[in-house]
Amino acid sequence: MELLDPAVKSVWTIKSLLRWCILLPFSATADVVLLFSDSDTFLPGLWTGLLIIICLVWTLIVPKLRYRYWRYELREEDLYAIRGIWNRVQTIVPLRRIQHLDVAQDLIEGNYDLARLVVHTAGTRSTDVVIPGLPYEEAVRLRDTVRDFVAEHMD
Amino acid sequence: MQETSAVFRRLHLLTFVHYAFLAIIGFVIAWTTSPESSIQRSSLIFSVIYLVIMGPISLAKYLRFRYYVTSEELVMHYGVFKRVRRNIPSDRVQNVAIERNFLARILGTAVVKIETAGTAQAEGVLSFVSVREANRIRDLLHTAETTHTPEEDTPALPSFHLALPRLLISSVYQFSLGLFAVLVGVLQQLELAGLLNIEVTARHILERYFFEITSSQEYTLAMLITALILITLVLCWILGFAQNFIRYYNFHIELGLEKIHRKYGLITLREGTLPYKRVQSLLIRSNPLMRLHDWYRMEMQTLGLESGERGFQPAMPFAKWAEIVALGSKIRPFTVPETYTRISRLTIRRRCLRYTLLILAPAATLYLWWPYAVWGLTLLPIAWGIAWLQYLYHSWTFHDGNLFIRRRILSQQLWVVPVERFQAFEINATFFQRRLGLCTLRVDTAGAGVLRHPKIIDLKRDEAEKLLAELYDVFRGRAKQD
Repeated sequence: MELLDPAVKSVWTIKSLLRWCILLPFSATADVVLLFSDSDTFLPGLWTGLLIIICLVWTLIVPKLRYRYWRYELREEDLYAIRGIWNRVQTIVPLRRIQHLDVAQDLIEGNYDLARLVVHTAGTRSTDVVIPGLPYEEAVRLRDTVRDFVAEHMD
Repeated sequence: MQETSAVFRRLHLLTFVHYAFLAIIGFVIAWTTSPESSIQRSSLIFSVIYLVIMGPISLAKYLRFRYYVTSEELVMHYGVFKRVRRNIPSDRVQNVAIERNFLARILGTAVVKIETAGTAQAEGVLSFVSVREANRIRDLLHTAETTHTPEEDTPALPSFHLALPRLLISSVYQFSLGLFAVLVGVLQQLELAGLLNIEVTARHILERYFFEITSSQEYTLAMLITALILITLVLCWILGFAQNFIRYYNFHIELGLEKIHRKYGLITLREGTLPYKRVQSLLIRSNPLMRLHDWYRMEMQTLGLESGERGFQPAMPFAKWAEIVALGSKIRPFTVPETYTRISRLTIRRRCLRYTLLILAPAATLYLWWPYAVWGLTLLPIAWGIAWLQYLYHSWTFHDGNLFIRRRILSQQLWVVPVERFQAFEINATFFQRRLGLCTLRVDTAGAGVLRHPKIIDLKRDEAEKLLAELYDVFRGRAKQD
């Protein structure tokens, strides 16, 4: 079984920070409202402080754990992946069931020269099996291997 | 475009009546339900604006939409802002469905839906054409197929017809809580809820419950609650009866050589064909009462998403077990397994823990404001009982290349999933499941619902691994033959 590229931890850390930042305007608004209200029940700055603490703890722990539990393997006839911290998911996608393949990369991933391999099947539940944090070359290589298999067996 | 004989046709002129119908209904409802003239005036203004914008667009749409059908292909030219020319070769056509709703049946029009293998949605929709034209289109697109199979006049194809007496019996077993909610909502909207007295009664109850209850009032309260529950039950039952009766009126299914033909409906008449290839799995449903009298319902989970069926299409709305097996095994070959394997007993422990937490947390929170929340704890034994029943009713077996899964207590399900239809194999284990050495096995079929899909919950870990290996082994063997 193969591990993801360790650089993916940095990508996830940045993404996690960004995601928590979305909540920042809300907590800031709540705090400003508190500051100008007469109520003494909550300290102003409580919400933002809480948010920052949760965000930091989350960002320090979750990407590392997620990395630790991610495994994948391209086997002869299928793609095998194990992942998940709380809910451990083990998926087998038979290559002959693959409808189409994407290699995707966003700005942050691009910065670390990483990419995601997205595998689509006709199913609905595990339609998109995404393998994140692959070196770009590796993702392309995987895609081509799978593509060749599909082309060979689907005529 | 060598067919010079093929002339482009337009849709039926009465299409406009259909377009206008919804707008008129909306307007009438807004007009009649609001007593204030200001709302009436604004609804009138909205209607005019709607008419001014949508009128020309509908007209342009109508004028731009042209099609012709030959036995080789269906060609459609349409689109106002984005022009589309679509050719669907008839050998790619998987399903031609003709749908006629209430208005269409008055006007003598129909919607023709042409599905291909490509996507889940219907790729060619002709709404609306005349009934004669709809039949002509279907026959034309089907001739291509029937020439491949000349032995069409083989003796009596397997079929099933839901006769009126049986339809009436089947409707008796139906119960629709969802429809009841809709009805209450609509009545409330129309300010007719007083008719049912439900809102008044409910407010009554709340008032009494939150304030002091004297002994005489307590008596009335009990009466009220009982009456309310009874009214609700009876209404749910009547609505369920009506819904079932209307939907499955004159249900007819016939298994052809390559396709399944179906026709049903009282108000909206549905008629369509479905290739066997599209059927992914079978779902046989029942409830304790129906099961007692040996009644079952069979549905096919298909790739095509026909409107309102959510990927599940009725195959036999109401039939005896023997009939279900006889017809079902012709749709997807299967033999009935003799024994089923139960899931791990530890599931009772996991579910009990889960339900206890789910009840305790809200009860404890509510208790701070409302001491009556303590009574919520009486739910605990019930929940534990349910956990135990869930264990009893959940079992599986892998037999003859089909995975059979039995689940649920009240709306009992039996899944028959052919292994060659699997799209992906998945084993899930949550934190609690891992502590108990359990996991959930899910299989994915094409077009399966997100909510309703086959899964075995709380298998022993090693058992799941073994089953997965076995399933995958058979899958590989069969997939190679495809």
